[in-house]
Amino acid sequence: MSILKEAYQALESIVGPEFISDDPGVCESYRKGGYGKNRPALEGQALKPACVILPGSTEEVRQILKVCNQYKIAFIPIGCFGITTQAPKVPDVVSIDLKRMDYLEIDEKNMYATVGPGVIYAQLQAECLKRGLATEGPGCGVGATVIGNHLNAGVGPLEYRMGWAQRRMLGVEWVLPDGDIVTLGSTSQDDEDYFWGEGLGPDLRGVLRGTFGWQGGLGIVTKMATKLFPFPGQELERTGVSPETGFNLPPHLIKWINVFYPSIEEAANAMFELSKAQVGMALMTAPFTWRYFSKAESKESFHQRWHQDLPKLEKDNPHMMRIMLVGLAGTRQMEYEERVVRDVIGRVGGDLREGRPFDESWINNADAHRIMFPGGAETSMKFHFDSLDASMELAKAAAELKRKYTPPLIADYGIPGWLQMGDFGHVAFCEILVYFDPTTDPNDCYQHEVGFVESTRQDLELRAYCGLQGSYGPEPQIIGPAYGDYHLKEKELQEVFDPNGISNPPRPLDYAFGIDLDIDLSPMDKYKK
Amino acid sequence: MAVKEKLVKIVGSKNVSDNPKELEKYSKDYSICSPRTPNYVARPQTAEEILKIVQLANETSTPLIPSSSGVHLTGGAIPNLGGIMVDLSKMNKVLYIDEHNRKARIQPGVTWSQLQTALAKKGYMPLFPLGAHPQKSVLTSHLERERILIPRFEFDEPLLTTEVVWPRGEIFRTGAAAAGIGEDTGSVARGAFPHGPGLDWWRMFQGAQGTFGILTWANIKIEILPEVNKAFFMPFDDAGDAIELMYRIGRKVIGYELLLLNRIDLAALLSDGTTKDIEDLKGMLAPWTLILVCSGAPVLPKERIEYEEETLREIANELSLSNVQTSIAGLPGVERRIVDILRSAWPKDKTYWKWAYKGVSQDLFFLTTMEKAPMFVDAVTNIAAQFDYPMADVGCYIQPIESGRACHCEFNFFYDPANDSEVAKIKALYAEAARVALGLGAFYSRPYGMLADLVYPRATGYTMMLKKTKNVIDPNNIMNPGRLCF
Amino acid sequence: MLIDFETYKWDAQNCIRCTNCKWVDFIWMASLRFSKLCPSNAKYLFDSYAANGRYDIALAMAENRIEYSPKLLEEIYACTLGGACDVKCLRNVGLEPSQVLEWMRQKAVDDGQGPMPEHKAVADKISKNKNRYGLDNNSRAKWLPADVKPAEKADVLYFVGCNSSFKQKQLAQATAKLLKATGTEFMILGEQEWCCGNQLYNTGLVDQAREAAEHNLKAIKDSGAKTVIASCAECFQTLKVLYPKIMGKSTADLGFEVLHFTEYMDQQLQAGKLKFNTPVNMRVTYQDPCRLGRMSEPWTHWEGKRGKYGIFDPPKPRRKGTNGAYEPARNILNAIPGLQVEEMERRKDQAWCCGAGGGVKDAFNDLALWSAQERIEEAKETTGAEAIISACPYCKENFNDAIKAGKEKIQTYDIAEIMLQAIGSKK
Repeated sequence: MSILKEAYQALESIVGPEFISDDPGVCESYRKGGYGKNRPALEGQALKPACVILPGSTEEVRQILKVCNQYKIAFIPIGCFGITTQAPKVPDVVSIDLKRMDYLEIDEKNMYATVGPGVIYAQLQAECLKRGLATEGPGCGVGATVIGNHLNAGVGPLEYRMGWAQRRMLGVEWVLPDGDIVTLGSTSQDDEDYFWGEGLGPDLRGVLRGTFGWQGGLGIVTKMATKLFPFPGQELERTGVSPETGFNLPPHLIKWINVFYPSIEEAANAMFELSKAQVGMALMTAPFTWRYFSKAESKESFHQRWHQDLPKLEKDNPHMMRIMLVGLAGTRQMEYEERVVRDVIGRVGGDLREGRPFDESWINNADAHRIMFPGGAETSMKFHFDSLDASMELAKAAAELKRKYTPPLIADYGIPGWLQMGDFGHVAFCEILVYFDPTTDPNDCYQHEVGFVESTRQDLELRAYCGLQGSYGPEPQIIGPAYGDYHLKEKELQEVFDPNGISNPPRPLDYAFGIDLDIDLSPMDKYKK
Repeated sequence: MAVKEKLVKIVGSKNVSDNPKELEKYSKDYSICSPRTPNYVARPQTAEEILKIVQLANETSTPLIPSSSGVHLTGGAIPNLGGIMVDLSKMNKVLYIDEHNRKARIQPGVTWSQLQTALAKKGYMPLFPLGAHPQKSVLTSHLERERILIPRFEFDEPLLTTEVVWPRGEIFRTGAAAAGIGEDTGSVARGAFPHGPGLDWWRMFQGAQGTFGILTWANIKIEILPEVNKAFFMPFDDAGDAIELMYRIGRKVIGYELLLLNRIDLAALLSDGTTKDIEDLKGMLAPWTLILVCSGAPVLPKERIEYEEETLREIANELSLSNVQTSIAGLPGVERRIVDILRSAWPKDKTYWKWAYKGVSQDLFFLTTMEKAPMFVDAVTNIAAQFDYPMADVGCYIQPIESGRACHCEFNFFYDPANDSEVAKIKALYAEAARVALGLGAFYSRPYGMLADLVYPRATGYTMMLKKTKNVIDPNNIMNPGRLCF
Repeated sequence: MLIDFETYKWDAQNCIRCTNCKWVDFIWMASLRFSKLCPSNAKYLFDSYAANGRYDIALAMAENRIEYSPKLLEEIYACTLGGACDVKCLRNVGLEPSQVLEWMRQKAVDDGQGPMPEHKAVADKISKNKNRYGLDNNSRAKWLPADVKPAEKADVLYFVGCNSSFKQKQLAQATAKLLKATGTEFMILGEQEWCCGNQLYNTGLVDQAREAAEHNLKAIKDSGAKTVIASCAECFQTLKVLYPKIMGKSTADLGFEVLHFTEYMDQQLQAGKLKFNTPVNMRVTYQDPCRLGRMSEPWTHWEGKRGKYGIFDPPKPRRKGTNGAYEPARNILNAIPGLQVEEMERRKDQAWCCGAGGGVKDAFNDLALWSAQERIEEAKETTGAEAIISACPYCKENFNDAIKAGKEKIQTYDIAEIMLQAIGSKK
């Protein structure tokens, strides 16, 4: 892979020789990315970039994109490279690693932080907690970059109060694929002022992302402000040595309560009632598999124990609902909220147990990637947003579908995923997780892909809202026609702002990796180069 | 076939007019924006009819200006270049109330008064802005991002999913509604989640003053109407003295409605709708009053109010404030009245509170952070004085947003619209105040009227991108052309 | 080669790019400034200098998809093998990057490309002179102070190490005096002590490392020692972990116990045999040496297969850094009167590597100094310490170099020096 010598020299003159490389070892390490259901397929299909460049400022990013446009070179912005969508799919790509741009400033009074694309959630959370504030660490872990995740995903249980990531974006500085800079929100009027995100009139954050984002397909965001929320972080006590690290929770201010049910319906009912009562900071169900992951000393002990206990779990069908109470107004609020929880559970039923005063998962979620532990890969066969009752119905259908593909998926029971309440009960999220080994037997991965396609089709049949709308795979091509051809509308918009088609092509429409989709892909022929 | 004939074919002769007297009603509103007359008004009643109107507009390059409310206050629906007023007031059904998920699906013609009544029957309430006009469209209010009174809901936005007619001529549903809306239609989808499909198309219609499309319905959030409430009033001499209190209330996340009003605005809200009563009330009120309504949740309501009240008093003590009151001297029952006022559309039989003092009000509003609000108060009232407008007559309303991370800052210039010299003064005063506030950092996220001419030239990147986006969505520029930066 | 890549290929393939390998444990991360844990990636920035990128390079090496070059060797060798990535990866995903990183070096040597010339020079000295400095190994015991006489026969053997024997003799002397002060009879191997071979192993020179292991193990066995104490963290880890690994056995099979000096002295402290009677009035912070802390858990020999889901058959113990020797040094320092001990943000299993190990000091001194300077900044900013106390001569040496280069006011000591002061003896 290579780009024109002149282009390389132009790029080098922007950042200096220390921050650009076409070394084979460097390029090899930017070939695949991490999480992704099509990761093994990338072994054959992912290409090395031609070079990797590390800009240190918005101006450098802008100039790099200008060079790319001049020489018609595709580029891919990279945060932590946690997803395979940032792996090159076309030859001769410039991978733009944004890790140097780790600007972070917190306006404590007005509860927002302005960050560069190199800042990860853990860093932001560390700085927030000591100020009595917090951000929401997403389910994919706090090693994700704040901006990258805000643009492309951003789902976690504190959204019950904080809202999903797309709701938390405030002012934005955005370098479009052609190198033009756009600032959104209050920043459009004053490029130092990031406090608010709504547009001047129509809100162009709507072009920046929706359910998912562009995965680098429409330029690079070089600065973003994100909402912060009150949280008694100074009261947390760090404890433990790996792997048993966590926060000791001050029980008078932060507490988890777990309630066990024999069915998802009962758990969901409790969630409805609790959200109507307006208590809690996070409200969710969590699958039992995660408890086993968390407690397992090793893969071997997990498999041994899990498969030993599975028959009983299938029979008893336990489901766990969790609520986090936080006394933002102090001890009295905690006492009140706990009384409310006990009152509600007393009425709707459930086996209530106080959680351990310890958290390693949801404040600065240190163990998010334990879900990769049992098989090597985890993906979300169902990724659904709507209301909780819709989520619950779909979760049940998805559980059946998962069984059909088990094995090669690791066996599970009940609802093999989690539900989260959002916006105090107005919206909800459901994710059905599947665990498998993507490398030992290539057929396992293929079967898993087939299951994914069937799951997407299931959403259409049931008229459920398929949340997999970004091009992690062929989903947009499958669901797009049913959802107003949104994928083609996206493509139209992209052509306006990326006339040379160089921003992480072929986003927003990606390949199907050798799966027989039996769908008409011809509307996309005109975009093939 | 002429445009009118085609319109008649689409909506029926009773729903089309080019009568000048009727068109005059659409040519102006209660703002200082200059009048402009449309060519026609059409009153569709279905999405399909709207679609056909849009198709017609594309064929003939005729502007379309959507109008949902019976009353317009900002100039956003005044046609700049003629065209067809698409009057949606006949689409006025509350289509569905989903108690389980606390949402309601409404058509654009549903007013605040209508929705409040429909929801109250079931024990719910919509998320009100301050003193909502009874004839104003709820959908339009939420679409135009009018601020809600309750900063406790940190996620702030009441708008969920929508059905919209795109200017290119298609009916499109945003968010989970793209898959279905539930309501016994057989879909698993309930139409709650607002995002997607793909991008957040709904954000392009938000704040757009009808330049990006025409909504046929929207799902909006509703809340349980609390049965137990306790209102608190904290008088201040200076707006600045209330700011830290509001910040701390935000950090503790207590209370429902929280707002800061100056004397004349609060007087207008509490009055019987006459100038005299407003003058009398002014004499009883402090220069500024912070209002906090604590409400009980469905479970253990009194207990919540108890701890919230304790917290409020603690905060006041920390700030050496001793002004936490549960009434206003001379106004018996105000603690119950204020809850009604804040959770109701303005009564139809009373002069609208912003018009009671002098006839109408020209409102200047923007977003800022709370610590800057006092600076704007000083600046704007001083400008008023420069224009011989009595400072004490400038209404001022500060609304914390999302636990106080920002605030809506609003100034009301009351005037007599029949008095030409007052009108001229207000226009000049408004323009100057807008300009000065902009220089101090006011963020006009909703740039009505002349504000658009102030903000878009400063935002060249944003303007460029907005125009290009509009060009994709509305290639023939039929949607309210001449508005904003288009 | 010692490591079979087929055993760990699954790890390289299943890296999910969570980037935990670069960062302090997310619970313990307390600031933006001191949030990183991988010095290699923190300095060189490209992902080829982090475990996640090195996994990709390892796969390319195994599949002959990449050619050797000076840059590739830098990517392989500009890393202290400090184990931070290992601890982080094992915490969640259960992968063992350390084994892949070690394999890369072994492969480079096997292919005739590695190690770095500087490492070869040290290896040559070890080969000729049995110590890394190329000095006369017969003078290895010359550090002994006049008032300390090792025993002919004792249960305890003090394995001194090259650095304390030849360069920082005062550390060996302090160790010996402290052992004497606790009434411990101890042996030394003298000229029979060869360089432990830590750097030989860590630079991929397995065969030469094995030679050192065989010799030293025989010498220890012949001495009859039941307990071997090392005051150097590298020697300690070599004896306890690398020797069994190289020899295809477990730590438990060594036939003797291996303790770091701090572990032994902590035992003495708890038993009342070590008494600190002289205040040392200083505000200090403690540097957890990688090889004393997270890399020091015992080695368990394993043979078997790897199957579906990456499961080892039979099950293989993972070394997650949980039981590293973090507390002994802390117990000691906290017992010293007048000493105010403040913890840095990155501590214990999350300690930032000083930068000296794994051959980095010899071949990439700029990385070593940079890493040390980072730690000095952390000590200054987060603890206000007057001195950094470590328990490894290489940590101390590297800190000293960085202090001189940066003209820093902060001091650095080995814990033995501080203990010696605290028992009322400065010499």
